[in-house]
Amino acid sequence: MNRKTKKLLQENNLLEGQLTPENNRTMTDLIVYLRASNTTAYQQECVRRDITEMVLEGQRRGETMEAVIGEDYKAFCDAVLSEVPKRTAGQRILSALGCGCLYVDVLAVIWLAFGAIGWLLGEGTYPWLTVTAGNLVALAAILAASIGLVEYICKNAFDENLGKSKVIPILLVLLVAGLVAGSVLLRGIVLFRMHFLLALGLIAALYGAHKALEEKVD
Amino acid sequence: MIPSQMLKGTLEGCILAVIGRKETYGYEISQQLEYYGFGKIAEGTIYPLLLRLEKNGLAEAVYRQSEVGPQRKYYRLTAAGEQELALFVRNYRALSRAVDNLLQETKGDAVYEPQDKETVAGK
Repeated sequence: MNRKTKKLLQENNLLEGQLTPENNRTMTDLIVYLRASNTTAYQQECVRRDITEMVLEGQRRGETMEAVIGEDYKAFCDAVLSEVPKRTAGQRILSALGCGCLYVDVLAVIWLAFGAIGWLLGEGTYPWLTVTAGNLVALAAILAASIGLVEYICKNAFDENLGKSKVIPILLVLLVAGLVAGSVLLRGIVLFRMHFLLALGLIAALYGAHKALEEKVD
Repeated sequence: MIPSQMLKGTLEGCILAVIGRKETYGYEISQQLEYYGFGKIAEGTIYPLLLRLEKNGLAEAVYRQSEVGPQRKYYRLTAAGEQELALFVRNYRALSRAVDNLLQETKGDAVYEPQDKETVAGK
């Protein structure tokens, strides 16, 4: 997310603060649904601003959000999204790369922290960190489950039975299975060792790549 | 209340006509349409159409602070929008004439008259 988009996002957060708690809750569902769309973050924030202002005006007139937007919020969002420019293939790739760098970076920091705890407990050989097959399996499981979970929740934001969905427990089971396989079963398969300074450098580089890509895409 | 299916093809042109009169915003467009007999049309129905007009370069939007409450997005027609409105008026008048002619010609025709039970039963 570049500066222009961040600024608009902050303005929208302030604007949403003026909504009644009930309208705010519905607005959150609406925004969550828009987040899963194939539009740029900037476009999403532009639409968010328009809708929030529309609802605030309605609120001032004493109208409910349903009276302003209509009964079917999902149909409204779909109608809006069909009129908003879609991301190009290039934008999608850059955005996915930017997010990927951040996700891997966060997990790499956790991995580094576990490595450091291991040294303190007398495990491992300072200053080397071990990358096992288990680390990679756990990384893949966490990424797949978390991305799947967010996508599923966003796309079903208006589903009142979302809490009863079987997809969420299945994703959580996959996550746990990946973590167990990674940390217990495949722990012994060492792929390579890395100096912790190199690991720190890679973490910094990933963060830098994420920031650079973030500036490139809306 | 005009059925939404019937409104579908004409609402965009009608919004163009409302914007064509003066620079205006979503709620005002909805009120104008209600005033002209379209019934209550939620802003949520109008907003996607306004986005489409903007996307197609037929209208342009500008944010202005309202006297009360949050800022408003005002829309005005572009030159392309004015051409599109003129085209809509021509097309709609042609359609309206055709439908009027048809309904006048067929008015009173037995096919469209409510039939009594015996005729329906073929007696």
